[in-house]
Amino acid sequence: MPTILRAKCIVAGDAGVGKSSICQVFHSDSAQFPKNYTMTTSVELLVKPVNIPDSRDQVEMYMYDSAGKEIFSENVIKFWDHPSVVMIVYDVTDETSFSSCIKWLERVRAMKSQTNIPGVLIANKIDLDQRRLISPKEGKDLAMSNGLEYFECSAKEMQNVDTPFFYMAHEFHKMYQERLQVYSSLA
Amino acid sequence: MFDVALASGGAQIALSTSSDDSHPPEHMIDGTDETFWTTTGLYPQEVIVRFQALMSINSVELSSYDVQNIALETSESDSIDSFEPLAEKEVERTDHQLQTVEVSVGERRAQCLRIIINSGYDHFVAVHRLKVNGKALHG
Amino acid sequence: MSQRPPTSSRPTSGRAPGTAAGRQPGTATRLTTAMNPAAARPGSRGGQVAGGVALNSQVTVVDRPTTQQGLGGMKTAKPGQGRRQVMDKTYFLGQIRSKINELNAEVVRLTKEIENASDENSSFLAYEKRAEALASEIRDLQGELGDYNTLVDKLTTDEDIQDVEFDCNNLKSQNDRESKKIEEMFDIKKQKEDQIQLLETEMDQERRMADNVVNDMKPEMRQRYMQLKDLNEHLLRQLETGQQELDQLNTKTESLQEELSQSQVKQEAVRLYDQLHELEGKRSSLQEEARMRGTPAEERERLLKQVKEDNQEIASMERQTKEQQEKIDQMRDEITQLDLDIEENQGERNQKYKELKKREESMDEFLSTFDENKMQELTKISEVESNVVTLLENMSRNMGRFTNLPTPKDLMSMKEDLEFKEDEMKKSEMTTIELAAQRDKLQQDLAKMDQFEEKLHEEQVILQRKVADMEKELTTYGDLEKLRADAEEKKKKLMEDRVILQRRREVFKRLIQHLTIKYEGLKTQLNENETYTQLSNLEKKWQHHEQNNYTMKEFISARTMECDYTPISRRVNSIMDHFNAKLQTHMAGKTSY
Repeated sequence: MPTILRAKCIVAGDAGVGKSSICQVFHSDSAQFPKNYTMTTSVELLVKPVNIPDSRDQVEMYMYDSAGKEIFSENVIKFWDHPSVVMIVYDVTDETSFSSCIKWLERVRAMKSQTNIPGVLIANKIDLDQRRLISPKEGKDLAMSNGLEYFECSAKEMQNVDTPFFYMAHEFHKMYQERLQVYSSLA
Repeated sequence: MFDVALASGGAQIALSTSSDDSHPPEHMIDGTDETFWTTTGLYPQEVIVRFQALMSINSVELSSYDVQNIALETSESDSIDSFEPLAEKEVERTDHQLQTVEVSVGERRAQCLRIIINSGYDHFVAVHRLKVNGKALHG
Repeated sequence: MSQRPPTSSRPTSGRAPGTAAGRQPGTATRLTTAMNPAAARPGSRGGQVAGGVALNSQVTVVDRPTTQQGLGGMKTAKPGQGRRQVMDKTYFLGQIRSKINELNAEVVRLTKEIENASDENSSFLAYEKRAEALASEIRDLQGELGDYNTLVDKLTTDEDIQDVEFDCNNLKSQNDRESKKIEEMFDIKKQKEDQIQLLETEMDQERRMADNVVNDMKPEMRQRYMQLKDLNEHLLRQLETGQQELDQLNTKTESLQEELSQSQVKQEAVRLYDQLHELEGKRSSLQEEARMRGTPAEERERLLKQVKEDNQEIASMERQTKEQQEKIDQMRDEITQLDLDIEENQGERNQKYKELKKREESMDEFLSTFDENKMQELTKISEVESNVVTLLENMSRNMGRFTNLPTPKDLMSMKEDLEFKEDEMKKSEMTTIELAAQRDKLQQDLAKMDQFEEKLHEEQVILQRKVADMEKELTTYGDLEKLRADAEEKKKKLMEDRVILQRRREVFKRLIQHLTIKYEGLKTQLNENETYTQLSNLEKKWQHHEQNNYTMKEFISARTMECDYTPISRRVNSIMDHFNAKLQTHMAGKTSY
């Protein structure tokens, strides 16, 4: 029987970078992209199972699409206990969103400081090429210096949105396998 | 006084929030530390063990790994509504060693025991063995 | 001693009640009366202080301080403010002493000021000298600065030193020329002065000669001469005085005219005087006429005579004018004739002139293009020459070959051979092509064969594995009993699992029900809560606003991106750098002297 793992994935980032769009595009399998900007108040929960290749196991991604506005930050932190994986999103046309990535990451990591939480850094809105202010190299450097994996995507073009989720699911599954090894060695 | 939470003694897992086929919750009540039950992520997780009959329990012992906070509830009947809290305990972290959690209860009548793992030190938690000391209540 | 009131302001003791401001609106009105003579009235203009400061209080300004008894004069400081009431000798002595002290003090002060002034004067002279010296220094330095500036300009504009020397030489020659001119002028001036000297000496000589003549004259003549000389002098003096009087009178009339022009009354008077003059003149003339009038007959005769005279004059004048007109016409005809003649001559000459000019133009053109055409023609000639040379060479070579020409029969046979060989060649070409195609095909076949072989190998391996597996399975399937037992076991286990899982499902369902009921309860509780509904409404509104915000921001950023000039500026800068670098290399390559 295939094992179904459950991962709590916290999607965080500044307001208006595209977290809800990414989550909805991934959740609907690139069927729909929210054209109008709807500000997320508090947290939206979306669940989607991801198949792990070379295995019959599935990882259910519980995406906690959190609000980006600072006013909601206290409220949103209440939903952030025991994160499994983290996804920090920033907008390549907005430099402030890039510089706040570290802030968001620290907030999430503070919820569970003893364990290593795998995560990804997402550069969204790469379709706005002329307004792009942050180079991929900068993003990659920030991701590497904080132990995150760097991905670029465009929720509007529905391009490369699935890859970070697959990566996170894979990492989670890998962690599970490692844990099983550890538990087996204890006995 | 014997371990009432043994599968061979008729205890069953009534409910488990995580189920991996290779590490089912039955491994908790098989009486050995070698096999274990693992959670599949997220908290809180819970397991409800149902004894063969209404028992009077004195203490609960757990061999686990990476558990941080655990809560116990008991119920005298099979229904979900009647669980009463028994104990709550913070567990220390032990690296590469099983944690042993002991909770003394006094006398408590219970048919079902509910173990709630509220948080763990890692994403997953393993429970190798569950031992409930008690005796059967007759009548 | 009481304070002397400042000369520009009113004394505060006589202030009328109501001036709360402590400023002096009296002065203000005074100032305004001076500034708008047409419109100012003391008291009414209190609101328009010259400084533009608004008067907040309602001030009734009066110019002259009033007491209760009516207008009073300027009040000096009242007695009883420190003065003695009894004025006797000692009082006046005291007063005098105080005055003397004051005077002494003033004297001392004035002497000090005088000393200061003299010191300052002397120092002033010294400073002036220093200033002059510094000014001259400054002039020198400015001259140097100008030189350096020109030098820097020359350096920055990369002028050759030759140009600079050239300019220098130009300036020197110019300077020389100008100095020469000045010398010439100086010489001329000297000459003129010498001439003046000569003339003066001549004049002296003439005067002496005149004196001699006068002395040689007879005494009568001399007397008359002297008389005339005196008369001459006298008249000269009279002339001078008359001239002076005239000047005076002129200035006087001018001043009087100015006065007149300023005052209207006097202008009127002058006009009336003029009128009077005229009328008096008319009157006198009329009176004369009245006197002179005789009988009407005499008058008529006189008038007739006058008329006749006038007619005669008119007739003579008309004749004169006619003659003049005829003369004018004649002259005009002559002029036109001359013009025509000139034009005829000119016409012929003009044409010739025009033709010659045209020819000259064509010749100039020809001359200018002559060089180019010449070059072109020369190149053409050289090309043609080379062509001719090559053709001649070819011809000579062919002529040489003529000797080796075969006979017509041989030619025919050779042609046949040629055709035959050509056919053969074509055939062999085609065969090569075919052979190449066949070779390619065979090579492909070979490659395919290799692939087949590999695939066969793989298949063989797979099949061997399959055989092994099948053999294993054979063993397992051979053991039917075991299989059955295994199946039974599995079935049992699965049934047990099923039971367990079903039970668990039940428990789960119950738990879920329990939780959903709790959840629904909480939800209804929440929805009943007014604050929650209000908050959710406000949140919706906020979401709506945020949407608008976001679309606006997107619009703004899209638009700013359109107007973004930074990439263009970057491109421009890079192109400029490129261009400058190229220029530099070009210039570096050019300048080598």
